[in-house]
Amino acid sequence: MATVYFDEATRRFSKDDAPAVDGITLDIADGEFLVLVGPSGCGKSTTLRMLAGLEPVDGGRILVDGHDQKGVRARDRDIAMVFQSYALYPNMTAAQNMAFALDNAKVSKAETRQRVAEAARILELEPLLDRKPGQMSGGQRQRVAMGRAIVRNPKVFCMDEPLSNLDAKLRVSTRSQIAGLQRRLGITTVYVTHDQVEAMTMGHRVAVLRDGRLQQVDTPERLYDSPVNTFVASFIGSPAITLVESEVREGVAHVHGVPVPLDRAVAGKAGEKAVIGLRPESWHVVASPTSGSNGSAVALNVELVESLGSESFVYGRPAGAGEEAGRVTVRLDKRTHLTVGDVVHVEPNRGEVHVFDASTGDRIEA
Amino acid sequence: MSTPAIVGTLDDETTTTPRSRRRRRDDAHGAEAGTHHRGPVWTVLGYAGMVLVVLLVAVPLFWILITSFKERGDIYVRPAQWWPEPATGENYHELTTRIPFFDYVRNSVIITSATSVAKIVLGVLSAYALSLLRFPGRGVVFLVVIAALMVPNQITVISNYALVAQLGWRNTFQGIIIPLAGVAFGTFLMRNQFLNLPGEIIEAARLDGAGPMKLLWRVVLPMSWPTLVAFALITVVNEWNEYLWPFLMSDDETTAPLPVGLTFLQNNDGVTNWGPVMAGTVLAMLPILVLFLFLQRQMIKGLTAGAVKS
Amino acid sequence: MNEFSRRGFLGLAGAAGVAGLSACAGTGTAPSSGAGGGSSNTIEFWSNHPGNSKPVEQQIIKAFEAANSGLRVKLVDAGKNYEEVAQKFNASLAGGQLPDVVVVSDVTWFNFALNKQLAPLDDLLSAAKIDTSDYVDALYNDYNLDEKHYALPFSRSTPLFYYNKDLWKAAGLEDRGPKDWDEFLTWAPKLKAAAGSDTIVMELPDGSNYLDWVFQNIVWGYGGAYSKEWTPTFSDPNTVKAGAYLQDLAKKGFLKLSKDPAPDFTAGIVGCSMMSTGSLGGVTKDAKFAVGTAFLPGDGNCPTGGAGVGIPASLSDERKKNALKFIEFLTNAQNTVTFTQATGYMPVRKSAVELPEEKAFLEKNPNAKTAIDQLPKTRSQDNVRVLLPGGGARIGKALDQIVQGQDVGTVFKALDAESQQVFDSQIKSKLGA
Repeated sequence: MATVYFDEATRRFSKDDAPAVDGITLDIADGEFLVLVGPSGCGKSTTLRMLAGLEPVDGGRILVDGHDQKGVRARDRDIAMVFQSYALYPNMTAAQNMAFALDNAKVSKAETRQRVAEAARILELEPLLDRKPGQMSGGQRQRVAMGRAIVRNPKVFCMDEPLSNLDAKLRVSTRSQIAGLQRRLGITTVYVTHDQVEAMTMGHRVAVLRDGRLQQVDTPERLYDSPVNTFVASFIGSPAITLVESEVREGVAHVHGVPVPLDRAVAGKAGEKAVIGLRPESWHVVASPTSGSNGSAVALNVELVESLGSESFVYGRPAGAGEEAGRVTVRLDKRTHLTVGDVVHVEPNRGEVHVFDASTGDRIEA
Repeated sequence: MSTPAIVGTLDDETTTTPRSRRRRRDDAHGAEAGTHHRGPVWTVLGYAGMVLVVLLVAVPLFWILITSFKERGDIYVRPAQWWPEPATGENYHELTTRIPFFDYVRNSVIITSATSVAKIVLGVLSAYALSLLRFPGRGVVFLVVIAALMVPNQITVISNYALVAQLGWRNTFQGIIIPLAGVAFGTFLMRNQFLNLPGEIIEAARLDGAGPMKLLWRVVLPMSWPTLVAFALITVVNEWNEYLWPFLMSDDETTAPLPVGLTFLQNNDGVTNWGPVMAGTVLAMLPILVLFLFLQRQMIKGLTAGAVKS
Repeated sequence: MNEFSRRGFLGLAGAAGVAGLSACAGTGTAPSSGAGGGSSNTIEFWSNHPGNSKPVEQQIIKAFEAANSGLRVKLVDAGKNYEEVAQKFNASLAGGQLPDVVVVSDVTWFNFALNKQLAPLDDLLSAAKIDTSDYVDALYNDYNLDEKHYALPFSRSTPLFYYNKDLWKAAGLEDRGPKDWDEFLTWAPKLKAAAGSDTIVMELPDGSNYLDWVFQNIVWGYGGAYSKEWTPTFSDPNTVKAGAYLQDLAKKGFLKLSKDPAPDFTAGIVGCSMMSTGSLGGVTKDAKFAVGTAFLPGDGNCPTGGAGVGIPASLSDERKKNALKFIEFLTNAQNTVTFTQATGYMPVRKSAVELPEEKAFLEKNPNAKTAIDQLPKTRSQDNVRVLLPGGGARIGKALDQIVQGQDVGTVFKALDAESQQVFDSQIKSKLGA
């Protein structure tokens, strides 16, 4: 168990290109489950591999338990990793796979046996112990890979998209298993995924990366409720937030013609233009164009309806707006039924708007 | 990979689930159905082709075998005798008495095993260093090795001869073995094999605390088994048949291997009695044949070991 | 853990690299006089044991060691044929550890002599008071370059005309070889008629297997030659005539070329052939019909062949003296009889045929007598075949083309030009030095 501290850590694959990981500073507490999330190519896997010692650190430092890891070999870091491909040793049985690291660390035979048995019990691998990876299903291999990490009782777990090769259903159940396991073992974990649902459901805190730069590190709730910029706002949440560039006049933003009053301090900082962000659940339906609280509402031409049973999401374009205007996404409860081609009138919920600077995309706080 | 032929060799792997067995059998049925679709003409042509190839390979071997049991006068007769009548062991007797056959066998075994072991060990180690270990100048070393591969051995023979002769190693085993132990081919082959291994498994082993030797022995080599066996087989066959260098180095039966020794059965200015030559060929072939049959099983086993799903 | 450090590992890799390099390393310093080890009283004899002669070589060596206490002879397996001995000798010239006595064939000796790698023997011979006049003249003079002799004849052979007596009888021919090649042409249809359809009248070795050696007989028979001294004479009308004769035989279906005619002849599917005297023992042993031998057609048109023994030039005088002592012993009348009776080669000494055991032997082996009787009618081969680098192979290739039906004049003209060019570029400057 350990703390991990990234101090301006940087990785450059070549001198001419922009760094793959650009000055990331990140403080991970002992026992914390931190998720690194971002679109592909954002540097999240590289960040993880730097921690594991599989990539050099070209600038800055990485500390584990306060010790700089520079020059410490991967095999001496006491960090276990679960790979996307699982990377099991094909010539060894499940039991041998799990025992390999202990064998290397000169752990006694008896203790090895006991720790492997314990891991197998936790992961329900007992019937598979004598099988080789070639004779196992994807889910079984994934569990062996997990087992290989946990028998070591390492300082840090690194997990690199360990669920992405599983089918959707198995992914959901394994997700909670891993989260539960981590809670039980209390081992500091850094988990990489491109899937924001995984990030939101598993992590104590989530770090969002873009182009090698850290955007925001926060609890899932805070990320959702107070994204620091339009990138984080649109990356987190599904369906995505609706961002509308709007004019701001006298403390009121005009979203598709509908006046939305802003907090006075926020409006003061916004200037004449701002990007207004509205989550799908931040809208409500009104009966007619004029029945909104301000006597106006956005008329949407429904282009797509996703019905999930308990609720549905409607994607529509404001009537009269050109093609360049973005779609608006609205969540509806199951009592409202719409079909493609309908026109629906919606109005933003008061106090649920996110305001971002029109030029930088940064969040404007009071 | 799940061809029916390979399933047949898996009798010791009882853990294959019944379900996957059934699926494999279904595949096999599918394959058979496929050939039926092609029509009888193609099937017959296919078999005819296979028979032709078998004959091309087998007839000369068969001829060597029966000739080795023929009496001298029966070797050149018309029509050709397809069965030794009468059969005689005389050729084998002459083979072992006219030349010191067993000395040559002993030398061949010594030279082949020593050279093969050296080549395989050096090839694996150098390929491992050049593919999976990072050190400065790695690219240059690899280039030099490849360059060594490009130099035909006929060119190096003379300078090697000079070197070995100056060391006073002519007609000694070390004089024959050490210059043959160069490994450019093995380095090249095994390096490519190692580079094609899934990188994440190597990384996983490093994170699991495996040192270089353990990584090689427990992870890298087991995954490279088929290539290694193929490399070993090629090496052994090559060394067993190696002629030019042992011929230059050896002076007599204290060091000369079989390929050199057997030539002394041939009359180089006159009529060769081919019976003993064929007998010698048969006996020289046997060990390699046995080794090949044995290693071939290993190769197929290696292929079915099951790699990681990528 | 037991630390097998990366550095230690790199050491190993380095070692592997060094071993890899050893495959192409090594430089030979030119052997200085007497270099290359070898004590002066051990004589290394590099032989390919021509005609499976290893046992008889050992027998002669034993007799030599008994007669010369203090001298030992080490018999070395130096190759399976003359070319391999030359190759091995070449390697030793680059790297030391030279033999004392080496077998050199009619084709390989010249290049070694030209490059001063073989010692001229004349001074050594006169110093040792060895009478060379007893050597068969044609054989002795085969090793002559600029009035110096670079080897002494050892395992010498000539071609013989072999024929199947049974077939001869069936065709109603006299039991003898043809007087000349024109006569053979009149015999050929009779032989063909008498033989079954699957029997070939005459089979000769192909161009890669010394057709150029036996063909010299036909060329000389028609008054042509491969060369006069060093001037190629393939375009000479008589030479062309011989080429046309060969082509004619093939066209009419009387002639077939093969890698080795001996098996076919022994199997009885070939009527006649020209093959080395060295084949005599094997052919008579294996054939299930009466084998006849005769002089090659014509008179004095029989080329010599086979090999002699020479001494490397850079040996110390002491070693040269001992080497010559051994060579003299190896080729003296007694031993040349011993050797040739065991192998089928020709005795190289004139006095050999006077020895009682040789007389008895010839009595019993009339075919062997044919070869001996032919010996005075032998003629040294033309320079462009035996002395020009690659000469035999070059002529053989041209003869193959002729048998395949290409125009004789054109092929021979090209051969003239090519041979001249090789002579100009490789030999001319080294001659007359």
